[in-house]
This record gives sequence, structure tokens and C-alpha cells, in this order.
Amino acid sequence: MAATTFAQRRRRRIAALLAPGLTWITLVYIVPAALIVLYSLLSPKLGGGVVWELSSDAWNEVVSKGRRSEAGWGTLGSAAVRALAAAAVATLPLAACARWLRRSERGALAVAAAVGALVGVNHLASSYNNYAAIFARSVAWSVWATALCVGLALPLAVFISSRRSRITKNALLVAVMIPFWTSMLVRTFAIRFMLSNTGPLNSVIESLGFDRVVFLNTRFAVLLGLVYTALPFMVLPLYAAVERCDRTQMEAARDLGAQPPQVFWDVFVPLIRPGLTVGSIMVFVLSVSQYLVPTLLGGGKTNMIANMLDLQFGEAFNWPLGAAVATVFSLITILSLYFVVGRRDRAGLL
Amino acid sequence: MSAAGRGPAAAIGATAGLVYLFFYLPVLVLVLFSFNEARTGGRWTGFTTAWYARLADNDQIRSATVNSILIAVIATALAVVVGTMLSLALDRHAFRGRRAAEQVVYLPVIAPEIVTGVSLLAFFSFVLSRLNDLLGRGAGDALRLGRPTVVIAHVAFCTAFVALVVRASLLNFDPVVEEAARDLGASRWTTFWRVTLPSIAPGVLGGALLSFTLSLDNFVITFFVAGPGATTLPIEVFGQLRRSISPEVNAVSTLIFAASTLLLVGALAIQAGAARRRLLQFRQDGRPGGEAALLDPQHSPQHTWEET
Amino acid sequence: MNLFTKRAALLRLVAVAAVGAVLAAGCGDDDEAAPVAAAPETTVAPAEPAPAASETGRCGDPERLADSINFLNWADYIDPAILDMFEEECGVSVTLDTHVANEDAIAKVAVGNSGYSLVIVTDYAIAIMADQELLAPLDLSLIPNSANLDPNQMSAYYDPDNIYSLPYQYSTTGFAFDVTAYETPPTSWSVIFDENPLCGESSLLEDQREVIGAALVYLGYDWNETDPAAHEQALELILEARDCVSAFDSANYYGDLGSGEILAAMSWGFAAGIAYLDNPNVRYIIPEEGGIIWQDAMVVPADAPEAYTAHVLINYMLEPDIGALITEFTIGYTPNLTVPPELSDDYFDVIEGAGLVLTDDIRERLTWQVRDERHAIFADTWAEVLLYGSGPPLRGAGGGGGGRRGGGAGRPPGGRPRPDRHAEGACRAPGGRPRRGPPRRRRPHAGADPREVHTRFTPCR
Repeated sequence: MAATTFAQRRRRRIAALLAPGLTWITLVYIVPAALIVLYSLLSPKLGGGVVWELSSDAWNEVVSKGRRSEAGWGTLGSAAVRALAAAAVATLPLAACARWLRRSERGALAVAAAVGALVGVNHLASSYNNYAAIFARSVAWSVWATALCVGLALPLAVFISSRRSRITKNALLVAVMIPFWTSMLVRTFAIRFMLSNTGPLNSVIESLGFDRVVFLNTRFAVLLGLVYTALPFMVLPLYAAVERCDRTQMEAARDLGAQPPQVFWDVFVPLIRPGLTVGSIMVFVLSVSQYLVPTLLGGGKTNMIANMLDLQFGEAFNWPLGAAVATVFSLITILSLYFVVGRRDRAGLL
Repeated sequence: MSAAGRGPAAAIGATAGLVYLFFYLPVLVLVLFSFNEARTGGRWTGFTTAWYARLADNDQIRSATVNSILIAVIATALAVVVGTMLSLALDRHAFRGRRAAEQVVYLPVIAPEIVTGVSLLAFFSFVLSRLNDLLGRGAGDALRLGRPTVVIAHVAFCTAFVALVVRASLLNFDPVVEEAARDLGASRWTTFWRVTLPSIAPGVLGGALLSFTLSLDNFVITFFVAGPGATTLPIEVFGQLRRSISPEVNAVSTLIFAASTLLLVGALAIQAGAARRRLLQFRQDGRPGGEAALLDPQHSPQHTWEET
Repeated sequence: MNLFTKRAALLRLVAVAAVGAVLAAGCGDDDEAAPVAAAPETTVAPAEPAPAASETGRCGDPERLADSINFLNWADYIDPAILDMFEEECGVSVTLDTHVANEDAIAKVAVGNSGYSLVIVTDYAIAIMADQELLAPLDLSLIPNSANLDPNQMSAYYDPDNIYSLPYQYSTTGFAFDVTAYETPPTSWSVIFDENPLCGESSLLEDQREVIGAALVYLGYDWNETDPAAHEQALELILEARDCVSAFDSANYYGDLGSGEILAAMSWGFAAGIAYLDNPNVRYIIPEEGGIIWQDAMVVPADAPEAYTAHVLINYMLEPDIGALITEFTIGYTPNLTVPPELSDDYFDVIEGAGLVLTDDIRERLTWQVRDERHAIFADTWAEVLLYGSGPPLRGAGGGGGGRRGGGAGRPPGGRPRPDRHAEGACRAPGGRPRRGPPRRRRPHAGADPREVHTRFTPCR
């Protein structure tokens, strides 16, 4: 005992702190994931499970296009037109914004291009019926959901943070959490009712003399559900970041003559960036793997990846195909986070 | 953000109000429906509390609720301990393989739920059958899917979220304070209890709340790893969706909503009382709180201005 | 007793968790809430003797009964009162878990040592499970009530000699609609697949076999057709129908039919009956091209911990009074010939009112849905349906076609006038039979009329 060096004791302490958590997560996440990758290379068995015979059918199915991809050059063209149009529409206000913020328009153009790309991908993904399309669609919707969540959560976080007393702040924060203690399923069902043909929203619309609008089982409903489900996961980290950020820096910037937009963009946003990153990751991941929202609010017509997984592991009894989809899906999610989220931000998170 | 003028402040307030409305409208709907006489459909046919009375009789919903809360409590308790340990190790110590360890820890945050659920089902069925063979257990006393497997799965993702949240609060915490305590002769354990834990307590509490919420509400993973008698509320509700949600489910949701509101409002009230006492004490002898508070960076001058 | 042991188990679980040894403490030990010492099936009698001696005939041999049993059934498919009655009569507490798809049930059982001693799944699932040796042969000598079963419903394709299964309930898949929505009541699948007048207000099931099967019979093929060319045509048809129907939905449509949210749906028979309870304008047909008959049956997994008790419970559920409770709850058809005399008039009112009477003429149009390896093509076709894009655009009253396929054009603005279907008859049978009182406590005393136990007919007030 006496002979143990400081370094040894330290190593032991670290190991003791890490061991339970790492073992646990490895057992629940990594080992089963390896099993899934293995399954994707085997043959399906009626009734679920796999037959232990090597087969590449699942991967062929995932990689090759669906049997009917009628979408051809025409669809590509219309997707391109839409993308360009969206980018053009987005450019003006974004450029104005950039000018207002006294920043170069290059960033604005990049954002506009991204918007255009998203619109184009989304359109393209709606026109094909292969796995690539549903991956693209799920990712695109999750990006929209993340953007909307930022737009809604930031004002809320700032609002809560600007309350004077800590008690009020805590009360407001708790008020964000409370609805999430009742089952998400039940609340989603309540949303389903509100959006239904005979629901309150359409009653209002009809009483105003308009024709009723089909909300349910559309992209709109799914997007709304995604935002509703994931919003608190944006609010909490953003609030923490806003709360943590040093107001004196903003005051200093103002004293030095910066305009409010500049203070916002050049001082405030960088300060809350870690929270923004954490929140975005959580919202994106939650959204992209949503099962209940597209099931309950999409009515089987607006499916996301999880629905396909459900089909293959359930009704279709094709576990290898499901496993292959799951593998690609996990890779897409994890890799996109690693590439899209910059190295610096990751350092803040990870 | 007093930085902005009145206009932006009003816009921010309005947006915040709308977001709260967005959060609470569905809850309002389900509360209303729990008092609606009609069993199905969206028509209001009259006020009744009959569904609450029937709840007492509904073994299915009751046992599902108990299961849900039990599993969430156990998973949270374990996850808070394990997750805090992880975040301490990752934050305090530089060691080889730390980055790899970090990636592993945050895997549950980014892994798609449904993949986890499916792969866990495959994994558990594999492991359990081997274990049963090994232990020679037969049909009667075999190890099988059930509440323990649900807890195992929940602890894994809860741990990651706790670690994430606690880590964030550790970032704010200056290790110099710990070193000072150690230099003053406090043992490592005492330092942790008296210095580190109090200052990261909000983070730990936040992590616990988050993991409780996640566990309570988890459907997808639970669906795959639950076995006989381990039906949780979300699973029970999903079954009922086949026939549009029953008013009893709305009733139990209302009760959970009311209970959590009461619980949290109570906690806030206690906190408010404590804050008022601290403030009084501060005014009396010019010192915020007891000795522990002196060491607590949360009470350092730059933070107390928020309270006054 | 039940409560106490449950609490003991809870405390135990908490204690175990506190030590942090959930994993080590093992799964089998803690997950069975009820039996403290899970009694092997052949030993010790239950702690309490079966209450009524005269009832032991329904409870089998008390020496061999277990204290508790795990039962896996379709969600919302048995009156919970029955399980309470069984516990009261026979001293066996039943833990009911539910599944929402046969595939889930198969997966749970296939894991091995699922802990379930009795499972209810649909026909084709039994064939699959039997094929994989997941089922135990039934000992019919322990189930004397099996003699009461309708020979028409026995020896079905999935278990020709009834080695593994006995029927529980059966029903059909057809088309349900609100009569006020059509000028002439439909008789063909064409109202979904060809000219659907109810865009945005009709739905198809979310089930690969049934939707594709219906499309196939509409095209003149067999419901179980596996020819790729036929599937190609069926896919075309479904994709066009898809633009017009509001959803592929197996979960909410009967509630929606009842509330008027949708006016027509591809439907299971019993579901149409349930919708009829809320909306007496609901009618059900088997379209002239054909529909299917399906049957849910009771099976005992090969590794069932309490096989004997499962047999007793199966026999119990085949009792005439219990069978009546089941059928009044599910609004399916009973395969038990002793049950119909026990059924209430309310049940027959629904069956007749909703057009659910199963005549020989209708039976001719019904086929069984077979499933084996060859039918994997259904999943391929269905995957293509689900993989397709996101349906109608954001606005678009009437849920019309998303422009892409131009198929079902949206309902014209304003649409068909909507009669107020709920002005009368939201409660059933205006001026009909007396309404039932407020919901009763379940677990009636011995001798109470079992039909007084709450059934589907309570909401009227």
C-alpha cells in the first residue's frame, strides 16, 4: 500500500470513477450495436430474428433504389428550380440582416445556399421511394425542427433569464418542465385532437367562415409535433448558457458604441454558443429518430426512418434489413454531428 | 436582456408567452377530457368525475403508473451517482483515452432510440438465454425480460444525460476552491461533500430531473425491453391508442400533472423561504449563509446580485 | 394478498437497487411481482383455498394451480373484470400485458423464457410460432369446454388439428362507413381504390397484408397473391389511393369513425361495431370483391412457466358466461357455441345495426390470410408505400393529391354538406332499451349477473 505512487493512486481513482458508467453504457449501447451490425449481414427469419447464414441482401436493398423510381430528370430539374428559388428568396433578407449586423454578406449567402439545398433535398426526397430518400427527408425535417426550436427557445430563455428574482426564474423553468412529466403519448394525442378535422382549430377556422384545413397527417403536423417534443431540450441548455454568459461583456460592447444587433450577433451569440450546440444536438437527434410523432401525427403517410425500422423489425420480419437501415441511420446521425458541429463546439460539449 | 430596447423586449415576452401557450394547450385539452362524460371523440357532453373514480378500480393503469414511477426513481438514483462520477472523472482528470471515454459517455445522447431498443432486445435475448443455460434455470425460475432489464436500459441513457448536465456545471466551478479545501486539511471525501457537491448541486438536481423525466416518458426503448409485469404507463397508453385514448388515461395524466406541479411548486416555495432567510441573515450580519456558503461559489458576490 | 406481495416485491426491488446490484440480483428474481416464492407448478396449493367449493369445476385441480400467471393479449381485448373474477374464483392472480401487433408478441415469445403462460395472437402468427417450435401442444383433456367450440372455426389452416391453439374470437376485415356520407351505400372496394368521394375523410388500415390484399382482390387476384406483376399493379393502386385517404391507420380509426373525424375506413369487423356504439350511422360491409376472415386464438408457449394454470384459464374463458363477457367486450364473433344464448340484446343490436351479421352468403366472400416465406413480397411492396414522400402539401384543404401524382384531386372547397350526425343518437338506441347505470365496480359478488360487469355499453348516460 505504502509503495503505491501518487500516479498509481490517481489512475486507480479515475478508473473507479469511470468504470461503472462506462461499463454500463458499453453494455447497453456498444455491444448490442455490434450485434446489430452483425445481424445486417445475415438472413431474415420468418417470425423475427435471423438465420445464421451470411447474406448481402439487406445491404443491396438499402443501397439500391426502390423498384419504382419514376422520378427522373424532370424531378431533378424541379428540385433544382425550387432550391434556387428558395435560396434567392432567402438571400435578400439575409443579406440585409448581414448588412445590418455589419458583417460580410458571404455568411448570408452561405446560409441562403443551405436553405436552398434543404428545400431541394426535401423536394427530391419526397419524389423518390428509396431508403436514401427517407434518410434525406428525416434529416431535412429534423434540421427544420432544430431551427424552429432555436427560434422559439432563444426568446424564452432570454425572457426567463431576464426576470429579476431567482424564484421567478426557477418557477418559469419548472413551468417548461411540468408538461413533460405527463406522458408524451397522451400529449401528442391531445395535439392530434386539436389538429383534427373536427377539432378546435378547425372549429375556429370554420366559425370564421373559412373552409376547414387538413392539418393532420401532413408535414405540418409532423413538424409541429417534432418541435413540441424537442423544445424543452433546447430551452434548458439555452437558458443555462444565457444565464452563464457574462453581461458585462455586452455592456462593454454597448459602451464602446456597438449597435444592439451587433451586440447580439458579435457578443451574445458567441457567448451562448455552447448551449446552442448542446441544444441543437439534442433536438436534432431526438427529432431524427422520432417514432411516435410521425406515427400519431403523420398517419402513415409522412414516415420517418424509425417507421421503416419498425416495419422491418416488426411486420416485415426482416431483421437484417432493419439492422442495415439502423446501421446506416446511426452512422448518418453520428457522423453528421461530428462533421457539421465544428471541432471547437464539440470541445465544449464532449 | 435589458440590452435591447422596449420593442424587442415586448417581442421576446410575447414569444415566450406563445411558447408557454404551445406547451400547455395540449395539457389543457387532456385535463378537460378527463372531466368529459363522452368516452370517445371530441364532443363535450358534460362534466363528470367518474373517470377518476374508475381509476381506483383500474388495475392496469394503476400498476403501470406504479411501474413507471418506480423505474424512473431507481433509474434516476443510479444514474445520478454513476453520471456524476463520470463527469467528475472526465472534468477533473486528464488521462489517456479521455476523448474515447467521452465519446462513449455521450453515445446515448446521439444514438437513435429505436436502434437502441431493437438492438437491446436482440442483446438481452441472447444474454438471457445463455445465462439460463449456464445457471440451469428452467421455465419456472428463468431470468427474463422485466423491470430489471428496463431499469438497466434506462440507467444507461439517464447516466449520459446526467453526466452532460453535471459536466456543464463543473465547467463553472473553479477547482482551486477544492484545492484550497484540501490544503486546509479536508479529506478528499469531505471536500467532495462539503465543497464540490454543494456547488454542483444545481447541476446534479437538473440532471436528476432530466433523467426522471426521460425515464418516465420513455416509450420506444421500454417497449422493446419490457417483459411480463413491467408494463409502464407509456406502453399501457400506446396499447389503448388502438381505440382512441380512454378518459381514464387522461385522468391519470391529469393527476400526474397536478402532482408534479404541486411537488415542484412546493420545492419552489421552500427555496423561496430559504432565500428569504438567507437574505435576512445577510442583512443582519453581512454574511450570506453559513460557513459552507463561504466556500460556495454560487454565493460569491457576482452571483448574489441576482437575488437582491 | 395481491397488494401485499406486490408491495413486498416493490420494497425488495428498491432495496436491491439501493445496493446498486440490479444487474447481479438478476432478472428472474425480481420481475415477477406476485409470487414471492414462485411455486413450481407441481407443488403446494395456493395459500388460500379456492373460495367456492362448487366452483372448483371451473378452476381445475387447486393442487396444481399456480398463484399467478402472466397473460399476453391484444391491447383492450378482454374485459378486465374477467381476470378479477378468475382470481376471485380460482385464487390465481393474472398479470395481463398487452401487445399491439402479432409480430411484437412473436418477438416477445421467441426471445425464450418470456414468462408468459398464455398468449393470444392471430391465425397466421400461430402457424409461424408452431413452425418455430415456440408452442406447447394443448392437453384437451384439461379443457373440457373445447367440446363447445364451433366446428366451423376449428381446424383452420394455421393449426389443422388444433394441436396448439383454440379459438378465442374471430372477425373479418371489410369496409366501414357512415351511411350519411354516401348517396348509395357502397358495395365494392372501388370507393377506396377507384373513385373515392371522401378524400381526407377516409382511411386504410396500416397493415401490409390487409391493404395490399384488398388491392389485389379489387384487381381480381387472390388476397394472398405473391406474383410480382400483380404486386406492381397493387402498388400503383395503393399509391393513388394514398393521396386521397387521410391516413394508413389501424389504431385511431374506430374512434375517428365514431366521432365523425373520418367517414369511411377499411376496417376490422369488431372495430366497426365499436364505432357504431358512438355513431349509429356506421355500417359495415364485406365488399363484393372479397374480404378476409381472421381468428385470434389462445396458445401456450413451449416454455410457459405455468402451463397447467394456462389450460385452466383457457377452459375458464370457454365457459358460456365468460365467453359472453369477452364477446360483448370485443364485439367480435364468438367461436363458442354455448355463448350466443348468453349474449345480451345490446350485443345483437350492435351486430344487426352495424351490418355485422355473418351470413353464409358473406362467408363465401371471405378468405383466410396465409403467411409463410413466399409472402415476404408483401413487405417489399409495403415498404415502397411507406417510403414514398410526404403526402399532401402544407395547405391543401381536403387532403388532395400532393401534385406529384395528380391522382385524387382534393375535395372541392366547401365540399359536401356535413349533416349533423350527432344531433341524435350519440348515445345509443334512442328510446330503445333502458340505459345502464353508472359504471360499476368490477369484481362482482358471487351470484351477481356477470353481464352487469362493465361492458362496451356503459358510456350511455
